[in-house]
Amino acid sequence: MNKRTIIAIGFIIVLVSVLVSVLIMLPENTPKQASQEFTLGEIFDDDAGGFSKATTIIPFSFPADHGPHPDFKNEWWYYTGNLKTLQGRKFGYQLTFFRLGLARHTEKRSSNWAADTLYMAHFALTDIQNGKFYSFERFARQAQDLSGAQSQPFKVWLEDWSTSSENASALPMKLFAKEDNVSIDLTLNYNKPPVLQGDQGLSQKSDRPGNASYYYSFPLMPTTGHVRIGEDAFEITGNSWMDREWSTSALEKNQAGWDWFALQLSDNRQLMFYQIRWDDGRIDPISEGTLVMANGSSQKILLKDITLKPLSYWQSPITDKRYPIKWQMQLPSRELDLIIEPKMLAQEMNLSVIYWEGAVKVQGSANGEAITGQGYIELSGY
Amino acid sequence: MNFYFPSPTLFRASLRYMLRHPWQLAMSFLGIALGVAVVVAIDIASASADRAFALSAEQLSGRATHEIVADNGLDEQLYFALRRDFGLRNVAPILEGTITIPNTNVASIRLQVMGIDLLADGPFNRNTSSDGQRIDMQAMLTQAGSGLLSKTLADELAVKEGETIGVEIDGKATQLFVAGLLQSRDDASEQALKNFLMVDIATAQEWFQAEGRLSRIQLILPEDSSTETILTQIRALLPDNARIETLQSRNTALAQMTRAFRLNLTAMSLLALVVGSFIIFNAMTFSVLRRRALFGTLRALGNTRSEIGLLVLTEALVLGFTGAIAGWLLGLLISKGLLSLVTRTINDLYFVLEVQQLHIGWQQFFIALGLGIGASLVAAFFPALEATRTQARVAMLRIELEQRVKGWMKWLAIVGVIFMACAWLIVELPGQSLIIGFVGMFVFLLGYALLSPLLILKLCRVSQSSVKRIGGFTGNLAIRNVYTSFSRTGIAIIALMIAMATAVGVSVMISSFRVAVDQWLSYSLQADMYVTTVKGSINNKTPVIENKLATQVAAIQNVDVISRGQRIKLQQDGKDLNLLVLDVPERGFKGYQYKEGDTQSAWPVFESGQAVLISEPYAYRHNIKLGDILTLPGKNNDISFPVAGVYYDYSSERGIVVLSHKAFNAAGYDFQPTTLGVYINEGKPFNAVRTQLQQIIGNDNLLIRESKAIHEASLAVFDRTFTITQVLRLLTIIVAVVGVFSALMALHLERTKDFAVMRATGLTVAELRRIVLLESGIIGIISGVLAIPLGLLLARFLISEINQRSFGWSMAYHLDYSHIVLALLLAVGSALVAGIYPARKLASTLPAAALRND
Repeated sequence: MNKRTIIAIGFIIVLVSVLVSVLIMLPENTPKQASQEFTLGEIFDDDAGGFSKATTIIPFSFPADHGPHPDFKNEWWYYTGNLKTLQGRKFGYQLTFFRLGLARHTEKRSSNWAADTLYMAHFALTDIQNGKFYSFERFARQAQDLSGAQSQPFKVWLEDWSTSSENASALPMKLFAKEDNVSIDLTLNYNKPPVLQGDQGLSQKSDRPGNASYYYSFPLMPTTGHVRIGEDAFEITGNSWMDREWSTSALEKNQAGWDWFALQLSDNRQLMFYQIRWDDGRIDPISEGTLVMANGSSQKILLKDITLKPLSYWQSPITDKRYPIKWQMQLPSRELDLIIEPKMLAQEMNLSVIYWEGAVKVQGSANGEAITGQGYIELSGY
Repeated sequence: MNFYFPSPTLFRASLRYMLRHPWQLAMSFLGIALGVAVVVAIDIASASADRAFALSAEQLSGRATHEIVADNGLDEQLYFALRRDFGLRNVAPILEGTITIPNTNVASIRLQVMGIDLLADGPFNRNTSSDGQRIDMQAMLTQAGSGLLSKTLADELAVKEGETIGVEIDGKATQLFVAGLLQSRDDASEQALKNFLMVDIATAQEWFQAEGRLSRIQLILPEDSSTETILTQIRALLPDNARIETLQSRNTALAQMTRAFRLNLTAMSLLALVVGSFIIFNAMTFSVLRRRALFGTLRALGNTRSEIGLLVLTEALVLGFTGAIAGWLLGLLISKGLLSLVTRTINDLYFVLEVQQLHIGWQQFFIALGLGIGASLVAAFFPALEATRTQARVAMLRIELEQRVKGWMKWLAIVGVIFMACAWLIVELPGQSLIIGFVGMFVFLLGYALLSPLLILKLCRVSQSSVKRIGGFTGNLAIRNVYTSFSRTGIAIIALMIAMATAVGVSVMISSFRVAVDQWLSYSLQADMYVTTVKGSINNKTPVIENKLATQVAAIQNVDVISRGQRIKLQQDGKDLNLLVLDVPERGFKGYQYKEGDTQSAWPVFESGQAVLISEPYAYRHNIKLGDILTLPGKNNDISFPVAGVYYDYSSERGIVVLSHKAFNAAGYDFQPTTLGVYINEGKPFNAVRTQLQQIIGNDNLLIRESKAIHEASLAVFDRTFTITQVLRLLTIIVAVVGVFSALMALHLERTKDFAVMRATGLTVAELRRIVLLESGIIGIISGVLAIPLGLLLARFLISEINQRSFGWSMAYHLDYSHIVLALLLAVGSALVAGIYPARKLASTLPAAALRND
């Protein structure tokens, strides 16, 4: 082999190695996965950052306390209800406005978009007859009139979703929500005065002082109005439940979620109970509830007074989350024994926070006599 | 004729030959590789820019289908009207601007800022998920100056979430708090995200001093029968200056803008391939011709014509294939460098686009293969034919070949002239197709190349006596060598000629363009100073120059007159119509230089609002002449004006219509000037006026710019824009020099024996060396001389056809003799460089050894 041949072969070798190295250097296109799901704990962050905490019992004053409490970080107006038409067609609804304080005492800014508070609202309608569940979510900042809350006259709104009243007493309340072709337009009166939950309205969420909320409810609100789905408008009547809470608190690290029950019984009693679950499956001893008597008085219910037993589960085909959907609730001291089951299984709120919240029916016995009822339960943190 | 495939013995003969002449092999290989590489590199760079644009458009518009835009931004109340009152759910406000991150490791980074309402943006699915960690929503909403960076950029800048970095907005320093990182589905999209900064709309409004304003409003509208109804309802809500368009049409329009530019690049790269093809042609021809004796022997031994022909074609195929692969790889490397140049031009001329990632697809690989193999096969076709035609006995005689080649020349020349005539006919075809323009240019080039052998021969003959006089007998020998061995030198000469002609043509075109732009800037910037809005806020505010301000400025001492102008985009037949509305004194109006019409007749009718002016590109695109009637969309009804003049303009490819504010008012619009021109009395000092002007306008988002500065800045942009063209020209020259080098090397090395004979018959080493160098020099000179007329013709082509068709503007032909001198020097220089090695090598070879070896 002569010298020139070697040069030529060398040339080819260099080329081949360049080829190989370039092929190696070519970037790979591997798709990356990114998921985005919040947990309630993240939304209701407990970083106080200048916000007040619920540490002491305070006297509530209405209608002022129907309005917002900007000193506290989190607040909600929570409406649920079971409705039906004259012909007996049944619906359930939820409309909730969440106020999330982001910061206190922020500096003045020149853009009108600047905000220190945002609102989130959830709206759901259960069409039991057709087995349809509609759920929607909105966010908006408290700026540019996009969202806000006020007590006089009472109004909480997020764009065109709102709860409001024309009266100084804030009652009756009007609810309006519309998305796509689904809407509710309701008037909520009241049969019973507001019930102060927890300890005279101070509801402890963990052992930690200040990790508590101010909490009251309207447990029975006779409701009239309209539900619209597509071209169909239904005139309805029914009963709603309103929950009001404000706090600067959040779940503790070991608290995984909660199960919340708001039941309206046929004997004109109403029962609210929530249990907070720990990571290890045990129930936080702080869990509590209230039994509202027919005359409007109320009795506190502690965890030791109650047995709550899941009877069956439902797994969401969309999120794969498994919810305890049918419950047995027993209060031996009150001689109450209830079976709670959903009017429809698929009432999962698959929004930026995923939870199950739906209309339920109740059957059982009170003092040995048969009793029925309906209500809403909320299952979160699954 | 019987058809046999060549036997393995034949291939072995071929392989032995190649290995014994590795230089020749390497050079033809390099010729193909370089030619292919340039085309591939351009294609990759251009495709990458294209893809980056498409990706970023897709990333940022997400699922949006429509967009409401206006020339100087929108009032944010429109958004609230759509969302709250009209009840549209999928509607998102956007406010854009740019910021700079100064003094990073390499250079300042410009980021496009997209101010959005994160809370309304969900349905748009803008690919803005945060990397693992959550977006600090609290900071985004409540803390001014919070933003989301792409993870890639954050890594490059070495900043993390929660950190603060310094940025500049309109030259003012401020802080950016990194509230989260953006990450995309895949790397390519990630790259597209890299030059974006996502901020809350409040921050954007504050940064760009655009409180209450939006750049755009995006919408997702259902695609069904209800769309038209919704659109009509939305249109009724829009103010005069706003319009709603589909995102698709917007993105297409943006992509269209760069189409002409990218087509020009492709054409430049094809020129390089033409040169490359000639080199391949040269190499193939040479390797066949050199083996005429071998082929003759093989024929005598009983091999058929078709065997020999197929052998040559197979060789070409293998060479073409390997050369194409190498060229593709080389192209990948070059494209990286070209990409930044392409991007820079797009940034300067069209829109902000950052492209970091090469988009390497199979497309370029197949282009490379097709070009490499195609060019080598075409180049080998005639040599293969030649190899088969050779009579076994005659084949061994070279003189016969040279005779035959000379016989062809006449025919080639005739075909060449026909080609050139065809080229002329092609470009005279009606229409404005850019591709037709390029086809014409290439046909012309080919025609000239075919004609050139005859020209070369004539040139040699004509100059023979003078060369002999100057160079003595060595000169005589040298020039005779050039044309007696024309079959070997001719193609190299043509390749070099085409490269040099390209260089001349492109240089003349660029310098003509530059002179035209320079002159245009001088006369169109008639005022001495301009008051304009601060750059960056222009999109978001209506920075009207108030009457009061204008009056105050006009009253400044030594200010002669003032002019006011407004640029506005209207819609006509679904297309953008650029208007320039002027309230201008006669002194300012005199700046227009007319292609059709003149100032005296245009001024009175323009001033009174009875007629309009149109720019040359507008006239070209719409086929409108002086005196034609132009119909413009008035606010309520269409309104017609006669065209009082067609003026030269290089600012807009799509063209501009200029009308006086009176005509604008007559069309039903309000004149809202955004620039103010200040004309100072002749010979009076600038500074005093400037100081007073500054006092009057204060810090009111207005900026004073002197004409001189605008002029210089514009030319700087021009020069940057054409860097890519200059680089391509350089690449073409490199391809040509390599070609000439390989041709000459092969030529001289082949003649080792001839030279040995000359040495043996008494020629000294120095004389031999002189002959070789002289030959090279003559080849260089011939190429250079032939390149000049071709180059000038190419320049004319580029100016009057390609530029006209791409941009719609014409320009005067400006000949700078330095280009011609440079081309000549380059041609001679590269030929001489190519001759040095053979000259040295030959001179040092012992005649006896050389005679024995061959």
